[in-house]
Amino acid sequence: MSAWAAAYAATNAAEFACRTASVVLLGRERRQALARAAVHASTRTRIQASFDNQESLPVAPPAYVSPDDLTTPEDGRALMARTENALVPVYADLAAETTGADRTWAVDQAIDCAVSGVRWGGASQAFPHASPADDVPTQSEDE
Amino acid sequence: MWVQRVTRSITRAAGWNIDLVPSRPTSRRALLVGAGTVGAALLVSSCGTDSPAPVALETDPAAPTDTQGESELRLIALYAAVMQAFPDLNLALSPIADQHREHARELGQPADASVAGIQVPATVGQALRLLIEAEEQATRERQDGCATESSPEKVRLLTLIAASEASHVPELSRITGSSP
Repeated sequence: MSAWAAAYAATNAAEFACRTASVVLLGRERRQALARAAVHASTRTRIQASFDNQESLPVAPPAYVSPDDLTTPEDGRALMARTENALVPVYADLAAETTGADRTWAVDQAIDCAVSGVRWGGASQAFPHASPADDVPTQSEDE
Repeated sequence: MWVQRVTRSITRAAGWNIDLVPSRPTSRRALLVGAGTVGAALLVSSCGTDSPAPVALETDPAAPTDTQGESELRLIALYAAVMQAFPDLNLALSPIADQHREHARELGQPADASVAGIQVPATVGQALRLLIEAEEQATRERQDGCATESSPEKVRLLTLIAASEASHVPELSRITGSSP
């Protein structure tokens, strides 16, 4: 999968995660989570436009399974922080694969997501990365 | 049922494809680049002090440096100087300083720098603002580095460092908000 395709899939997932988190958030935080969902959706559209051949776009999952442990605002904030942080290496890969304005844009996205993750209560990292491998969700075609 | 299932909890980000995250790990060996020289700016005259002194800042932390690695050394020295002047900040600032040491190591630099010549502002608030400005400047330097770097691996490294340093700003702002 190319870095562009990976970023496309990741922003799609991130939008869903932000919307999911917003359900357990309240007031201003809920609006902020939905605003981040809109940001990721907009970013996905920008990425989509970069594909010369739209048929080469990765197929987004038709649905995601919501987590069982998302019940409190704290859970929502934690999901937001992890979601934003997980996007950083995706954009870093994209920056590495691109040049010029696309690279600049990818770097800006990585920065934006890292900052957002900390604002949601996450801790900064020397090299922002997703959760450990055993904690990373997997997808399957079953059911 | 035609629904792709995310088998583990959605936390960490809904529906991450396992091919996406975790992304390629940063290879220390691959990323070690030629070590630059230690910033002479950090090694000005020795004038260490145990208590904050209301002196003018002789070293401009926002001044551009020659290399990314030197820039990290400058940040390490600045954090060390601030923590030396305000020991109460050690707990909050040490994790961030440690991250800069990791950055420096990946950039082929030693993970420590002299605080000699670094002048710290008189108050905690001023010192934290100084660190915020230094982090913002460092982020811009990494961004500039990404624009001119030819090695994809180095670009990836600098992007991650830029993101890390940018994320220090809200952390420092948090500390600023909780400090007297």
